[in-house]
Amino acid sequence: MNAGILPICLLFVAAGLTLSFASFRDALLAAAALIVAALIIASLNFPPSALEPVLVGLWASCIATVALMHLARRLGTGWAIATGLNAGGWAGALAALSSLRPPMLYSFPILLLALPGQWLVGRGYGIAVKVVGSWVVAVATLAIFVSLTPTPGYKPDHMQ
Amino acid sequence: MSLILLIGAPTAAWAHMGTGLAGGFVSGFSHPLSGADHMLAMISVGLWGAYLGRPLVIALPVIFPNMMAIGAGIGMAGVPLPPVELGIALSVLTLGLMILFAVRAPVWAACAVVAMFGLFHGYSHGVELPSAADPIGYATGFVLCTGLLHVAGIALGSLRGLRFGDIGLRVGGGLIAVCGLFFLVQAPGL
Repeated sequence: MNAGILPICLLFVAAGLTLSFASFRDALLAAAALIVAALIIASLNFPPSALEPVLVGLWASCIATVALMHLARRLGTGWAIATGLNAGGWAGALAALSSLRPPMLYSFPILLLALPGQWLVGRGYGIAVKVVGSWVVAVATLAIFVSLTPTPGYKPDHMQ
Repeated sequence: MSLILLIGAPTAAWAHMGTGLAGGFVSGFSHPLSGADHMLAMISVGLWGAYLGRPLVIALPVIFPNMMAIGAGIGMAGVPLPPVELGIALSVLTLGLMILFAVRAPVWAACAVVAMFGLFHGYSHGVELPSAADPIGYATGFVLCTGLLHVAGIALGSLRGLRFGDIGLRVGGGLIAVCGLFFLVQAPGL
């Protein structure tokens, strides 16, 4: 099962939303860390068998990234950069395995979600960011279940 | 001319029509809007949350989609659950009654009720989700639409402040309960 660029986009949505809870400077540093990590990891070669574990890791990472915004009132520099490195690493690995390097580059602007997010958090509406984050968690949970459940949906059919 | 049209027709693309769910984001997004039972339940969650105020106005729309995802996982794993259609119909009836009588449930009770109904709604879709052509796109659209329906319910709940707003919303809750009763009577397994 290959969902194309969507998992990477959702991971960037999770990272962008979580960075809403960091200062502008830390969010900028984290975004830079994410982009650098993604580009470096995407340039590596992985065995094709790594695709499924990387997908599960990416979805679990979505959940962990969103969980961070619930655990901390404000995201410190260390956690912000760790968020960026983690998201960039998984996104780069999936891009390398699924030949999604150019689409990944076009997905980086999703991180700009942190700007309206910071605006909302600054005005006391951070809870709205958390609600949207919980939707990402729901999708990631569903995706993990789908990837762990062998069903006719992605078993080779008579055409393959 | 007919021959050209016949040759040009993409017959290969039609080969799998009718098997499983139609996949993709748009299909997932439009699915909750195509069934009155799901749509009413999701709007009701937001509406009841608006009645209950903080923290439930936020907690319920967070709990429902996530319990729906867990319910879908249970469905995919093939774990048996009591008649799901019955649970879905009961969810519409119960949530409608909660709004009609403006029930101020304790936080734990409201969370438990919504979590249980989320499980049923997720289960019914989880069973069929993996057969969708693009299950992740479908799930993304489905969850996003669910969340937006909750937000629509919360927005409707904000009409309470208007003159006749409260009575109007409670009458709306009553109508939702009547729909729930209708679904309950129609549900297989009753």
